[in-house]
Amino acid sequence: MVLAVTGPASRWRRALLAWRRSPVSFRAGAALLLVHAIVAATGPFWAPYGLSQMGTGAPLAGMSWSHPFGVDQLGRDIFSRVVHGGHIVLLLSLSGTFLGLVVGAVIGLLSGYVRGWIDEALQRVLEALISIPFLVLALIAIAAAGPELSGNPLLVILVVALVYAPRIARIARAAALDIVTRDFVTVARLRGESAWSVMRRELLPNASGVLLVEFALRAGYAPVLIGSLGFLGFGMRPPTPEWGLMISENRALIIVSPITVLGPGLTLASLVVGLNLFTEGLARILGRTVRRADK
Amino acid sequence: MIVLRLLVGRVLLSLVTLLLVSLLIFLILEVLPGDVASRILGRDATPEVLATLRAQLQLDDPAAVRYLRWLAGVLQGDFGKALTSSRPIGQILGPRIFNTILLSAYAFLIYIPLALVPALIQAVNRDRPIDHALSTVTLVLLSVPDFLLATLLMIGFVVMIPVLPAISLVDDTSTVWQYVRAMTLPAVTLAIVMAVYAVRMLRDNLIEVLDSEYVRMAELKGLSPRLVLLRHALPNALVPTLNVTALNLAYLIGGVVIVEKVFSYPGFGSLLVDSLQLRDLPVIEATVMIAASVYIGANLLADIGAILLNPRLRSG
Amino acid sequence: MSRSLLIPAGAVAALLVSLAAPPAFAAAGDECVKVLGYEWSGEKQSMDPADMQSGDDAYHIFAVYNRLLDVDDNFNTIPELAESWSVSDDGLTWTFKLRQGVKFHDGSDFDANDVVYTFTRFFDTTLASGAPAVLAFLTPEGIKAVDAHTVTFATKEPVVELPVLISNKFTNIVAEGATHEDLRLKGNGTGPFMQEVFEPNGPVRILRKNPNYWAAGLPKADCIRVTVAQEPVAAVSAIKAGEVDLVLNVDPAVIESLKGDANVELLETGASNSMTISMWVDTPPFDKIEVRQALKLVVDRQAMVDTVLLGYGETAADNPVPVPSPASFVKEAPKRDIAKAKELLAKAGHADGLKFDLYTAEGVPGMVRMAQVYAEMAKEAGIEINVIVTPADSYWDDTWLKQPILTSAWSMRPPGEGLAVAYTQTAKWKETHWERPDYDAMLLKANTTVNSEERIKLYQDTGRLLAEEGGLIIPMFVHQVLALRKGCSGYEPRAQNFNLNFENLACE
Repeated sequence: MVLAVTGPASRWRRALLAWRRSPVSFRAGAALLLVHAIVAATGPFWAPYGLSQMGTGAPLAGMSWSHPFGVDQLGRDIFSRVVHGGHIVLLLSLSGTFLGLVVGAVIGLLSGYVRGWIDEALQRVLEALISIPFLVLALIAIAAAGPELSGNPLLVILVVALVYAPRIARIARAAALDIVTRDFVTVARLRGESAWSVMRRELLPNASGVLLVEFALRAGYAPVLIGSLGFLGFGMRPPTPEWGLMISENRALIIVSPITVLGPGLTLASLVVGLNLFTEGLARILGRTVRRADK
Repeated sequence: MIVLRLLVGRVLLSLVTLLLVSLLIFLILEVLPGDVASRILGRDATPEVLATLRAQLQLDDPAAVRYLRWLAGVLQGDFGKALTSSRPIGQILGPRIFNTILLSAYAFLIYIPLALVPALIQAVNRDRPIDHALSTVTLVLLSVPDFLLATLLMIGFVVMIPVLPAISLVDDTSTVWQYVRAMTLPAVTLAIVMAVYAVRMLRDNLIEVLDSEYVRMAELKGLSPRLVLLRHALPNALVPTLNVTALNLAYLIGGVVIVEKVFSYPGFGSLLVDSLQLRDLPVIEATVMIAASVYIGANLLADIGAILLNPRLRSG
Repeated sequence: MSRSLLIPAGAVAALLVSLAAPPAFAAAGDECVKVLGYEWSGEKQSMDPADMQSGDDAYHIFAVYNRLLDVDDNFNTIPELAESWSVSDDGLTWTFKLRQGVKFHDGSDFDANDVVYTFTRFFDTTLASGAPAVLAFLTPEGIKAVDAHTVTFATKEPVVELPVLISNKFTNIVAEGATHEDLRLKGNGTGPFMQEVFEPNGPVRILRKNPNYWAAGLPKADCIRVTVAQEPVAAVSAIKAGEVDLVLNVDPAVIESLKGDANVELLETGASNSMTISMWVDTPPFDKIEVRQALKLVVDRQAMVDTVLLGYGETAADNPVPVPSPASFVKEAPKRDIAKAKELLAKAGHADGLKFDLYTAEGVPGMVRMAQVYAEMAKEAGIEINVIVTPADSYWDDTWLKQPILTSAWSMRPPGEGLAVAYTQTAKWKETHWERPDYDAMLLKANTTVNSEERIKLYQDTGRLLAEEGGLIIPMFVHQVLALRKGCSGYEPRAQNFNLNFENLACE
């Protein structure tokens, strides 16, 4: 690799070049994500109605120009609620996944570097956590937190992290096992660096590609997990406009006004499509394959 | 010999994991608010009745003692009694597990053609529009949450074309036909979710095999393309797909939670959600243990399969 | 290509047709009349009438047992196991003549001792029944069997409404000596149907015709098969497809889709369940009467009926007695008054607003919606309400009676019972911590006043005291909507939604 001194202009040009060379899926995914990000960031300012504003139209009114996703039983505009929910879904998904990534990466990398009985014990615990189906693990954790915390966004974030951390740790450990055999790690170790500093300086940078793809992959599933929890009544609580919860709230309306379910449903699906396309493109750019089977 | 040792080691590890799962669940549930006695009594709790029941249930023993007692019971196949109905959990679980196994079997039946057909079409028409179109469809379906997919199917086949029931209530008096009708929508939902995971891998495997030397040889020998595809390419492509299928089995145990709940199907998954909402500790413990066992078992089978099929390991 | 696409398309079409076709062979329990009930909650269900908690128990208990008297929507009494009754001149002793030749399902004869046993059993505190609160005027010594077919109830004060009051949801008659343990799982009553399949929280109840039923020609159906569900869509698709004959609770959100269906008849009751927001009057900030009054003034009752119930209900005046009843203290539900509410809040020291958590759960359909609408309505008066939705199944066990303000619901009761059930000092379910000796005295006086005009006046006063000072907001009463399949008849819905009577229900 040539280390040329590059000015901002050429950096932009290189970024543009990389964008042009990137797979179509990556570009499509990035575009979709951009739309979602813009809506999430600006939506609350231009949404036609407030997130729990009632009396915006006749209850159960169907699709119309003023109510693209219809009106729910309480007279709230579903489209506005979907728009208001954007940043909630994104923030919960990304922060939960990120927390899971940090915890998982630290545990995984250290465990893979230190080896020995600590590694062995950690592996068993992680294995046990992974073998509880993740939705089940999430539900138990929420039940254990008790009714006082039900619907608390922090709880949702922690639960996402709890579910993801062991899975990410396993990937990180595998990456660490591979990296520690390389010379520069041996050198660092011989220099007497602490495990923590080796992890930070040597393992983390070298595992970052793997971890990035893993983050994108997990982030792509996080809205589904949060939506599933909301749908089952274990996630966010009314009147929060979390999309899974909205689908659950309006599911009685699928006969009279299906758009009230399709609106939030397809919005959620489009976000996940965007994240999946992005992940796939990212993986291809980094020369990795996406292991999807582990849901 | 090495294979045997690997296998035994793998099985032992699985058992250790299972033991850890039981400990983890016990610890998590230990922090659940309110103790078992007050939950059994609910609104009827008075201090005296509560104290009697606590003594009866030996709740005042240390947690470690209670864990070991519970574990000993489980090892003898006794999961205890449900709090809500005070019936033995085995009795409650039995029909639920039966229903879920039926549902899973039905889902797998639908899953196989649903995964095979698109993958074959894609492999044969590699990089043609139909390949790309199916790739897009699988990616979109991959992004549709299972509860949304279930709701969409409900809109389609309950509301728009009303041919199927919206809830899948079955019980021991139901006939085979009622079972089939009741299970169709949940089974199709599960099958689609599993298939989209398998289609992509199967397609890539098929393409790899089709490109391989011996398929070329077969073609050169003048065998018809269809025969080559079905006789030679498919079986070879299936082996790696078995791994996905084992993982799909593991997915299934989580997937039934949502899908059974959406369709009110009286299976294992809806029992788990119900018991969590009722905070029926012994039922939660039992269901989670079973879910984890299935997951661990499926992975164990996949690993054993890999060990046995791996020629390098076999030759030592 | 087109041919290979046609084949699967054809296969799918054939599959759809075959799934829609009627079953090829008959199902077990198919001869039964199929009733779909609402799954009220996952509470511990029981076959013991003394345990009656939620609507879930009514599906089996009211089919398997009889009470002394039945009660119609206007709280007129109808003979059931008692054929006639009279009161002594001093109003202190009621004599009930019992029906003769009635047998329990196990073959034993029904007589006066069974009645005495049923009522004295409630006084055993280990039974923990909800009955004593609504039977506070009774004492175990006062209930006597005069002969095999005559029972007397003696009270210290005249209890004018005694026949109605002893006909509540707990007082189905059980056989003498039957213990709670016996009855919990295996019912033994005199009712029109016998227990065939029942288990607590089980998916299905099958109730078989009692061949020895005392009413000639009844019940009309050979058996009743009750399943329960919560999903409104399920009820619609089931009755449209003919999979059930009677849906006991149709969610307002789906009524529209049944209106045009020639195969389905919709039945609507009058004021049925009340929906409440109940707060503890001894806990800040609700201990201040101004706060309670402000919280009542912010409700736009009509708007609540129009959204939460989509119009299938009526407005109420924070009184368990519906507004149209003569015993109601007002002729119209109160109007919303934000300015007055703010004024009252300021007076109570909350000039810059008020903030609290309101607990709710979908334990009764519509409660979560009501809580959200209420929070939105209160916002305008500077009241910030954080709605906390807990799991429906554990709501009545874990949250109800344990949080200072929450949503609740009560089935319709006669004034004397409705004003008592949760609001007297002896009430088992003190939802509002309302403990007022003067209130109890007033209610007791009402229940014991023989002159009906005076009595109604006293019920009005009692209701007014509760509405003006109590911790109870009742914005509305629900009208139950039921769906009956064409070809079925004989089902008369009752406002007391636990009072199910399947005797005359039959399908062609």
